[in-house]
Amino acid sequence: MSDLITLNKVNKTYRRGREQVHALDGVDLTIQQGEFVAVVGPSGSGKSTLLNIVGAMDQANTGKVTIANQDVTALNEKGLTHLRADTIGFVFQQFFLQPTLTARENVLLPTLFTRQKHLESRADELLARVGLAERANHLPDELSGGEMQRVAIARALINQPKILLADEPTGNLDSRNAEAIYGLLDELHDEGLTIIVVTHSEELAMRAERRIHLLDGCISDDKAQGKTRVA
Amino acid sequence: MNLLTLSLKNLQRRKLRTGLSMAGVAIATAALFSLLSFNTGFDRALQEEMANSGIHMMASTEGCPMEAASLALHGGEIPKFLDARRLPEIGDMPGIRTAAGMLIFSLIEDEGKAIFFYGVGDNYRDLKPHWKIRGEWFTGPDSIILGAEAARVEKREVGDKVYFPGIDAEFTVSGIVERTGSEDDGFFFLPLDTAQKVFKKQGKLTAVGISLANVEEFEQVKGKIETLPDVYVVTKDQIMQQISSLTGSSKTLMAAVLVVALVVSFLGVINTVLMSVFEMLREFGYMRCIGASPGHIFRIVLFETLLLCLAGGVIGAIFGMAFASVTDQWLHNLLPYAPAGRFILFDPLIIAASILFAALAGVLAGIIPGLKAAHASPMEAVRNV
Ligand SMILES: Nc1ncnc2c1ncn2[C@@H]1O[C@H](COP(=O)(O)OP(=O)(O)O)[C@@H](O)[C@H]1O
Ligand SMILES: [Mg+2]
Repeated sequence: MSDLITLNKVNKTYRRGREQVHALDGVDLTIQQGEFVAVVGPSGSGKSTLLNIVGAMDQANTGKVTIANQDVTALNEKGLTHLRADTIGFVFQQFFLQPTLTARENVLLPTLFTRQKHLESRADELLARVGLAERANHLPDELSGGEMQRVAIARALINQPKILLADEPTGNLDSRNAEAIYGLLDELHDEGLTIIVVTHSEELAMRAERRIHLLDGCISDDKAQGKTRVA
Repeated sequence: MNLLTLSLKNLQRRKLRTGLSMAGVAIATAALFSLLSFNTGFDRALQEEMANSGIHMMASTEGCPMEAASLALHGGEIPKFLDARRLPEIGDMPGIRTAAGMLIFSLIEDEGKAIFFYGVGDNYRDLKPHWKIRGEWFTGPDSIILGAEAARVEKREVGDKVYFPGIDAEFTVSGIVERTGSEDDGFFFLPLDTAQKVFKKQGKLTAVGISLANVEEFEQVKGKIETLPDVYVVTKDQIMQQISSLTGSSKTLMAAVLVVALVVSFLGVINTVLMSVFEMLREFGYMRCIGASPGHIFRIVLFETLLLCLAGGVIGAIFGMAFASVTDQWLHNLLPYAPAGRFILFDPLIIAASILFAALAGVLAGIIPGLKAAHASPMEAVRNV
């Protein structure tokens, strides 16, 4: 397997008034194609910051970030946009579905921003995949939280990304709905997708094959773990 | 689905706000359409009226075209009178087809409203070839002919009697001039001799309307008439110029009001779209996260304002056309002098220009909000608050 993501001495500081907050403090990290990584740690430890940098949404202050053989720190706005559009699928805690669009249209939304067209049948496949074939023409208002997050996952997959990033994807869901998301992520991992998920849920973290523990912007622990399958 | 769909759905999301700013654009476009139509329509109507009326020049004791114009076309008195002996002298000159004497008087009625009497000879008809008279021309010295509007206000029909307490005189309506759309509609026409008697101006005239047999002899005839004592000639062109300048200030005023309307609705659109952009920064942020470029976001917002203004423009043009006759009537009443005939006619070019202008304004109005939205960073989506 090849290195898909590498972070080299990555620093990220935020200014809060006069104070400098070290959200990430000299992070070194390599993630290989096909890995399923859980990022855990207390609130404010820098988990989201790490994910945003890996997702090319935020830029490191110093250090080097490479994603799919591209030096992210050297990319301009256009390059970053292409990277986000083609290589990365992002799932948010708050789902962020476009309220004016149906589930199906939401899944197709990223295709408006790429050259890939005519992905309607793929959208339908993905909706069926996440168990929402019947809800394709419903607006987000008419869906439950769990359903909305499944639509968001289908949307993240429409452009066939190499990497799926999820920041607390089940943070707003009850346990039954969360369970469906866990299952889905498991399946996607089995199919070879690289997945990085930030979570407070032990149940979700347990399913990853690698667990990275962040503390005050540093990786305090990084270990492989046996994948525990729920029968 | 494409970016345009997204813009359209964003507009539909805030129906009231969209509707209100669309109404603003529609009103501004309707005003623009009306003014553009009016500007071409007024001159066309004036040309037509001048061509219809056979008057080539007016002779009076007043050399000022301003006075002559308002007197000839607006109805008005001037305190100086022409000796009626000049009338046959002018009429007998070579090159003259018609020389029609007129005596114009106004009377203030009880309600403070001025009514205008035109004492005219039989050959006055030659100067008004387009008049359609219901009933008959004067049948005797106590005949009166009413303009259509005058007849409506006085509630008189052909054959009725009409009494004017101000001059203690009663006349019988012999005819009513069908609506011309010009000032003539409001006048009361009396036989010239009767008018001279009633207003105690025997042997006097206010002016002589002159039509030439051959327009090429214009300068010679004009010069000859002006050799007569106390007679000045004002030409049709001078009168038209005068009317144009009389109308000019009204046009300027209307244009100023229009500019204000356009600016207000333009700012209104920017404000509306800017407001929704601020509300949608987070949405634009997550669109950036899922692959949208700043250009995509810019286009979504630009399409939004373009659609808003285009729809407003089309609605405005439709309303402008639908209310053309109302606007026409209003303009006829508003202007110091309005020629007969419609100002606002169906003109595809003016309709297209109005809508195009609205669309162009839409594109311009979209730039500031569009840039604001395009600057939304992906982090906008995940930023807490
Ligand atoms: N935009 C920001 N401005 C200022 N400080 C920030 C910003 N984003 C994050 N931080 C700070 O950086 C640190 C790490 O934040 P974050 O990565 O969101 O942590 P986590 O996701 O683990 O809760 C926290 O102290 C947080 O307050
Ligand atoms: Mg976080």
